[in-house]
Amino acid sequence: MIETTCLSKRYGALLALDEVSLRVEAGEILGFLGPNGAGKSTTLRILSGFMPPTSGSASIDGLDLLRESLKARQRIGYLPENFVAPQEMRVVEYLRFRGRLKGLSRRAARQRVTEIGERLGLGERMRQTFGALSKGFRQRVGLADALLADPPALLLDEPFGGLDPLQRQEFRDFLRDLAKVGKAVLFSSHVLPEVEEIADRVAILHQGRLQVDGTIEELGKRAHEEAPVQFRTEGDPVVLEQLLAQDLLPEEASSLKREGPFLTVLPASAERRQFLFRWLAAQEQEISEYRTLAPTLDDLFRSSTA
Amino acid sequence: MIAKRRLRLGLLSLAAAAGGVVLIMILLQAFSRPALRWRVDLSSGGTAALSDRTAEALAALPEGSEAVAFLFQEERRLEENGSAVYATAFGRLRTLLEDARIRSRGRLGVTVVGVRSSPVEQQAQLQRSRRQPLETLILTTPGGGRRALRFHELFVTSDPTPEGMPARILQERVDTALGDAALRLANQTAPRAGIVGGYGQPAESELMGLLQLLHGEGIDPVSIRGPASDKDFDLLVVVGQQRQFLETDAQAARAWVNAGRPLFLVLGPRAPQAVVDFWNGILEPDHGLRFGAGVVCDARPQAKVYEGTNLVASLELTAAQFATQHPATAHLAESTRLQGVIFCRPIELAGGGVDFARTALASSGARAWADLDQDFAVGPQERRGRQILAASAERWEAADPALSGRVVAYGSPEGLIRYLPLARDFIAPLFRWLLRIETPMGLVAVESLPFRPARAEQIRMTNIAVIAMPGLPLMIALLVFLRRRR
Amino acid sequence: MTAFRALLRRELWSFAISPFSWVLIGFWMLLNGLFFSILLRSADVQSNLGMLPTYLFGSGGLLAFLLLPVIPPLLTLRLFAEEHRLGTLEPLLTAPISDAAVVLAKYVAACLFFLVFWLGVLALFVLLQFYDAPLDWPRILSAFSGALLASALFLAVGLWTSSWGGNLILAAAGGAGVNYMLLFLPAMFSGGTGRTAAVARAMNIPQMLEVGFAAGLIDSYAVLYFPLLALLFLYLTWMRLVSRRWVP
Repeated sequence: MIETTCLSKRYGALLALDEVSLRVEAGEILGFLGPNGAGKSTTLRILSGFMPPTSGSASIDGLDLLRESLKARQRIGYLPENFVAPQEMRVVEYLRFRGRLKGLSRRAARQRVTEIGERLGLGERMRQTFGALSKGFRQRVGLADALLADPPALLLDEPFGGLDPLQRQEFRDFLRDLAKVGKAVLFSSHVLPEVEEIADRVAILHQGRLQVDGTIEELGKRAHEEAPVQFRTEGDPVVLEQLLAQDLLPEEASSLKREGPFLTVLPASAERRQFLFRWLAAQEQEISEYRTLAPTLDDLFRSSTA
Repeated sequence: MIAKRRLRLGLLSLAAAAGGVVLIMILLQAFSRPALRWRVDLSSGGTAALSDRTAEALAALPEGSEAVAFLFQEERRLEENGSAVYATAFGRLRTLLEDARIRSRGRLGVTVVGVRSSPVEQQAQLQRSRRQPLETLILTTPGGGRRALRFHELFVTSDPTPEGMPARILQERVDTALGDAALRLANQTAPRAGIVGGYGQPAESELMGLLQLLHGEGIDPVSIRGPASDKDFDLLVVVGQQRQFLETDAQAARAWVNAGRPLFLVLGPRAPQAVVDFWNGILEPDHGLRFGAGVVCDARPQAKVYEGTNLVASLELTAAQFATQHPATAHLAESTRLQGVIFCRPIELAGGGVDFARTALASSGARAWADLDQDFAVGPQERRGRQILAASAERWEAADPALSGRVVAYGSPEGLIRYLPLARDFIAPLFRWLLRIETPMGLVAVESLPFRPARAEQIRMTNIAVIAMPGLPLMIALLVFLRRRR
Repeated sequence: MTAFRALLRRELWSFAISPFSWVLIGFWMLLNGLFFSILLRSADVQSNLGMLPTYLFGSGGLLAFLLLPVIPPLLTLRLFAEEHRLGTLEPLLTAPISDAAVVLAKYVAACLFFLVFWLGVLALFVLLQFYDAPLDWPRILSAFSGALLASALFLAVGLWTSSWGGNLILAAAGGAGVNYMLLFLPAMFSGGTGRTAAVARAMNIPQMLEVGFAAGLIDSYAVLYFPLLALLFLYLTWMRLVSRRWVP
C-alpha cells in the first residue's frame, strides 16, 4: 500500500535521506523510529506528495507520487509534524472545509466531522478558533483532518505529541481498529515504548539511513541481546570494577560504567552474557541485584551500525 | 546524475514559464493590430468615439500619414479662475486620437506631445511638423500634404468672466475637424478660391488673415486679376472692389454667376456706386439680392455706445441675430459666442426668381438704421428697423450641385480684413457652404452634465462619503476582530 | 470541482472574517470618499459630471495611481506567502486538489472580494443618483469594468509574488513593484516613435483606462489585454506550485 524504493533527498550539501526502501501493507502498522533530524518527516513529506525526492520513487497503492500525485493524494490521510490550520477559522469550519476539499458531500462532511470530533474528544473545542487551541488540541484537529475522508493509507508524523496518557491509550486502540479494517498506517515517533506498544513492524532511521526494518518480536529479541547488564554490589564497587575490567574484552571494557554501588556493562554476545553471570557468581563480594536494562534508541542504533 | 536531473527539470520549468510569456506576448501583439479590433462606444451621445464618416475618411488616408497633437496650454485666458478647459480638451483629444489611430486601420500614426514629453522629443516633433503657435493638431501625409488645426478650431470655449467664472468648453468639433482634414488630405485636390485683386481691392498683405483662414479650412486661395483669369478656381471671391471691371472681366463675372457657380461678394459702404450697380444688376433679377446704401448703425447705450459717434457702426451680433435654418449659421444661432461686424453696408432681399431660395444670414438689432449722411445719428430719411448684414441665395433645385448658384453677399470688407478675428466663426462656414464642403457646420456638443448641489446637500453627501461609507467596513472589521478572538 | 468550490468558499470566507481586509476596504473608501467630496466641490466637475468616472475609476486621479498597484498584493499576500509562513500550505498542497484548482480558487476569491472595493466606489455614484445628478450610467459602468479588469491583473501579479515564498514583505513589495512597473514603464516609453514606443503604447495601461474605459469606449484589445496578462501571471503561479512538486 505504502512503498518507497531507494528514496533519497538532498538539501544542498546535506543528504537527508539515503536510499530508503520501505513497505507498509494494508492492515499493517509501521512504526517509524528515529531521533530528531533522522529524516522521518522528510520521508513522510515525500510520501504525502508535498515535496519530490531527489532520486528514487514513492508510491501509494501503486500510484507514483510524482506521476499520479493527485490520485495518490486521494488515498492518503496525512498529519504533518506541528500541524497548523488558519488561526481565525473555527475548528468545525475548518474540518468541514477539509472534508469538502477531500471530495465528501456537504452532508457526509458534516456527519464525519461530528463523528471524528467525538472520537478524538474535541467536543467543546469545535466552536473555538484554531488560534485559541492548546498544542494538544491542535494536534487532535490535525488527526481528525487526516482521518476525515477515511483514506486507505495514513501517514502520521509524531501523532502522539499532544495527547495525554488517557488519549494516547484511546488513540492506540483507534489505530489498531483502523489497521483491522485494512488501512496501512505509517507513523513516526522518537519514543520506543510508544512504537513497541502498537506497531506490527518497526523501521529505524538514523542520519538518513534505514538501520532496522523488522517485526516487533525481532526487535524485542535483538533489544534483549543488546541490552546492558547492571548489578549492585554490597562491597567496594571500585575494587569490583578493577577486578571485572581485567576479565572483560576490550569493547566490553569501554562500556563499563560505575554509578554509586551500581556497575553497568554491555556484553559483547550471548556467550559473554552467560560468562559474566558465572563470573559474578564466583566473586567473594555479595551481589545483591542483577538485571538486564531496556535498550535506548541510541543503544539500538549503535549496535545496528556496529 | 542527481544534479543533472535537477538541472534538467529546473531548466524545463524555466523554459515552460518563458514559453508562456512569449505566447502571451505574441497573442497580445496579434490582437493589438487595428484590423483585429472592434470598439463599442457606451457613452451617451456616442462621444467617446469618432463618427463613422470621420473613421472612413481616416481609413482612406495614404499609408504612413501622421497626426501629431501638441497638448500645450498656450492661452492664459483658458486657465484663469481654475478652469479645466485644457484638462478636459486634452483628455478628449487623447480619446479621439486613440480612436483615430485604431479606426484608420493603421494608416494614421498618432503622436501626442505634451509638456511632460522630453524636451528632445518636443523639439524634434516641433521641427518635423513645422508647428506654428496655437496649432494643436497637425496632420501630414507622406506626399507632403499638411493640415494644421488650431485649438479654437477644435473646441469652442467661453471666456472667463471678471466675476470669477472660469472659461468653459461650449462645443467641441474635433470629430468634424479631423474628418474634414482627412478628407482634404486624402483627396489632395483642395477646392480653390479665386480672389480677385486687380480692381483696387485690398493688398494681399492685408488679406493675410483671410488667406490663413482659407488654408485652415482646406481651401487653396488663388490670386487672380479678375473673373476672366485663365487660372482654375472653384469659387469667385470679390472683396472691397473699388473700380469697375474691364469688359472681359465684367462678361466673365456675369457668365460665372449665370452659370450657377458660387460667388462670395463683399462690398462695403465705400464701394463706388457704379460697382454696386453692376453687381446688383447681376444678382437682383434671379438671386433676389441687392446691396443697399449707407452704413448699418446701432446704438447700445448700455454699452456706452451712443448715437452721434462712429462707434455705432461697430455691431455685436448675438445668437438671435443669425439664421437658425441655414447650415452656415445654425451653429452660431445655438452658441453663445458673440460675433463682431464693422462698417457694414446693408443688404436687401428684393425681387428675384421663384426658383431661388434666399436667406438673411445675419441681421442687426431692431433699433438699427442705415446711416446715409455719415452723421451716425438717425436722420429724417433714415428709418429704424432690422438691417440685413449678410444674405445668401441658392437655387432650390439644380441638376449639377456644383452649379446651384450659391451666392453670399456681405456688406463689410473690413470684417474680412482687419476685423476678421471678430467674425471668424461666422465667415469660415460661409466659405464651406459655398464650396459644398459636405460636413455639418454645426459643432458637436461636448457631453456636459451639470450638477449644482445645494450647500446642505453637499455637506450631507460629504458626510456619507467620508464618514458613513468608510465607517461601515471599519465597523465590520471591529466586529470580526471581537467575535473571532476565541 | 467540489474541491475547487470548497477552496473558493473557504478563501472568500477567510477574507470575510479577516479584520485586516475590512480595514483595507475602510481605508480605501475613506480616501475615495475624500477625493470624491473634494471633486464634487470643484466648479469644473459640477459643470461636467462626465469627468467623475475618469477620476474615480480611470487613471485621472492620483488615487488610482498610488493605491491600485499596492492594495491587491496586500490582499493576496495571505493566499500563499502567509500560508507558507504559518505552515498551513502543507495540509492544503497534500490534499487531493490539483494545483491549477488551488491557484484558480484563490485567484477567483481574491477577485470576487476585490469587487467589494470597487462596488464601494460605485456606491458613490449611486449616492449622486439619489441627489438627482444627471449621470451617464453606461459610461460609468464602462469605467467600472475597466477598473475591475485592471484590478484583476494586479491581483494576478500579487498572487504570483505571494507564491514566491514565506516572506510577506517580499510578496507585498514585489507585487506592488511589478504592478508599478506594468503601470508606469510602458507609459514612460510610449512617447517617441519606433518599435519600442509602439510596443510600450500597446501596453499603456493608464491610456487604456483613461481614453478607453473611463471615456465609455470598450476596446477589444483592452478587454483582452488584462485577462491575457492576468492569465500569464496565473500560469507563472501555477508553474511555481507545480515545479516544487517536480524539481528535486
